[in-house]
Amino acid sequence: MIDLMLLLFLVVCAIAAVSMKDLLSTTIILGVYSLIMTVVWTRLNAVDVAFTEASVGAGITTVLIIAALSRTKREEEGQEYGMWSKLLNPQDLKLTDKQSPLLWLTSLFIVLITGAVLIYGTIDMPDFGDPDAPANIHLAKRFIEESYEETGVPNFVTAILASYRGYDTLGETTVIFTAGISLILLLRRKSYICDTTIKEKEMKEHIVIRTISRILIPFVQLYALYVIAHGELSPGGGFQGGVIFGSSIILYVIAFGLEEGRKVRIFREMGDLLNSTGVLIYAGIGVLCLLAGGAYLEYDKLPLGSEKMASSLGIYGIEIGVGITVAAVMITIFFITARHER
Amino acid sequence: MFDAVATIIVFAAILVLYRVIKGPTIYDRVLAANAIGTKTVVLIALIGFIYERPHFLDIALVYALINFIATIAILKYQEMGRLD
Repeated sequence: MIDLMLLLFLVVCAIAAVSMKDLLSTTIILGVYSLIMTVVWTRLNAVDVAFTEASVGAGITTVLIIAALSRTKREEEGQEYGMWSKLLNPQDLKLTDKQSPLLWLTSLFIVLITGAVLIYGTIDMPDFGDPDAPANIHLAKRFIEESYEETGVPNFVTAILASYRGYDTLGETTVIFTAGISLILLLRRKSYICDTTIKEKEMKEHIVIRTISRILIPFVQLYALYVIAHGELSPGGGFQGGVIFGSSIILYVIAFGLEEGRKVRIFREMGDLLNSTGVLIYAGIGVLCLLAGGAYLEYDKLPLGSEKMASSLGIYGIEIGVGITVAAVMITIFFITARHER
Repeated sequence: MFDAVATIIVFAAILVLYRVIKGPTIYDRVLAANAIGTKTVVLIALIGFIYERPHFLDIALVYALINFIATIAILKYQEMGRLD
């Protein structure tokens, strides 16, 4: 019952997001979509996925989309009809050279065929939670039963991400790092000369937001550190914690404005430094494992007490590295996209 | 018991969804989206009770802490046209 209602909710949100003309409204609806998606993940007992969806979808995606929107326009130009009026009265459709009815029908046909093929593909999938499904009889059993003995980490999602699939996670961290430096190369300008007095006056009036932010930011940051440090025991880890930490800095900038000069320079230099520090920590722990006589990222061989202890500490170290990179890249992306030269 | 409460809360969220989609102004949508966010926090905590897994409260906490950042960002963009 509740699952059906949630899925209905998601479908309605998706259709509304596509048919909406105003991009800001679409952003809000996508935020709601993400909220409900988290509930679906928790219903499926996928706590780590739900945690990621909660930290990324609720705060940072919306903020980054709005930062991108502030550099462009909210509405499409030269279009008078929404999707529904197009579907209901096709004669209203303004036909340009590219939009012939034939093209419209062809695309509808292709979409329908693709949907039918996808639904056909789900027919012989195993039932949800089926113990005999291929995913449940090979690797999952071993991870659940032996990961604690092999890695010393109770939360086996973290054990899989950081130990069994450590190379993948290193790759993901590098991808995030690459996104950050690409944005720096593409969009950063050399000098920011801005008129600060107007903005100061504008934000002085928002005393409620300022006070609440001042109280809340330390707690958000503390919680982010808890999520990173506690990733081995409970859901969460470097990625989620980094995103939450980045959100707290973004909240600071939104509420107080960037006082020009000093803070911008600090944030820029710190950001540049921390972007690469996280990846360096991650890759450096791998190299340390090589020096200690193991394979790359084989934490057991680190000289830190027993094998289990060494493995646990090594995983802890790379969680910190991932957290630093993710937080720094999120802050960098926000600063670069949200800044306007005035 | 918890199942019934969860179903009712989802139903309430669907009622609010009408306001998110209908609008007509941005402020209606923001307010409704915020109400859905609050219901989500309660819903996740309830599902944690149903499954007897207290870890779920962590997710509810994340929402309680950072959900309003997006709201502030939307309103600031609506008012000033920029975020910095």
